[in-house]
Amino acid sequence: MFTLGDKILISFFILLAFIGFIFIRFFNKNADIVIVQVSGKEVFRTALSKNSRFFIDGFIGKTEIEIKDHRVRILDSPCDKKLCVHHGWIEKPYETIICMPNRVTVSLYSHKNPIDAITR
Amino acid sequence: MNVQRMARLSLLISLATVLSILENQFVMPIAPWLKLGLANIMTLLALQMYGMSSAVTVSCVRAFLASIFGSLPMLVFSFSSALTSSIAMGALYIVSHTKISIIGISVIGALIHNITQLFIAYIVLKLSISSLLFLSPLLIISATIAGIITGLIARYINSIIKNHLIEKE
Repeated sequence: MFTLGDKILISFFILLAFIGFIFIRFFNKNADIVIVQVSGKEVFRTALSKNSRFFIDGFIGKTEIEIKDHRVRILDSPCDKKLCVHHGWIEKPYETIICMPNRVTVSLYSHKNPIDAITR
Repeated sequence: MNVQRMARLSLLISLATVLSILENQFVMPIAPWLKLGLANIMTLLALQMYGMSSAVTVSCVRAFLASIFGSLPMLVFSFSSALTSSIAMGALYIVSHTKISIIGISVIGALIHNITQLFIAYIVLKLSISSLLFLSPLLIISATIAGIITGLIARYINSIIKNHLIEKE
């Protein structure tokens, strides 16, 4: 059913993904900044330590974002599939929730990591 | 282009459009990040029946129609990823369809689809490289799972079509 080529291809990608997952686990510390971008422009930045709820004006409507217990999630969004709402909580640095229809991204960053200075 | 081929391709396009719109109405309950891409089955069938150019046609027209009847803001994103993934699948099919079966081709197609979407997200939303890297393992694993499932379905349907055609003739 699966040819040898298929098996090599599939096991290569699964291996690649697992190395990625392990790298993320190993690398991650705690995040402390939340940055919200709309169409690539930063519109909001806050500390992850204080609980809050706020609205962001996106491309097609308002996205509601909640910060609670050092985690952040999108509570409500005007998009069709609401994939960003289903994404749930994020808490590690570089984790990102993307809402493509509304062009909103919610990313976490860490103060202590020197990589921020290079990539941002 | 003969009439039979045209009729079959339009049937595949309409089926793909319906599947695409239907799939967009539901979100996988356990794994919302996993999108199967059922419309890709029709692209794979067109690829096996008539080759690369038909596969690209089915994929692109499907993306266009599904965006018009579904969610218009996503037109550019779905069209470009449909184009790149179908070209990649067609090229792979021409280069090595003895070594890699339709399942492997489907996996590559799903992967190219995800990479294109990520690339567009990177340009439009100006994601940082680090968040791009942190998203990629999930996208690779979801493309592999989705590619295997749609590839298996496409192989099954193709075998039915072939048997049926042989019986008729």
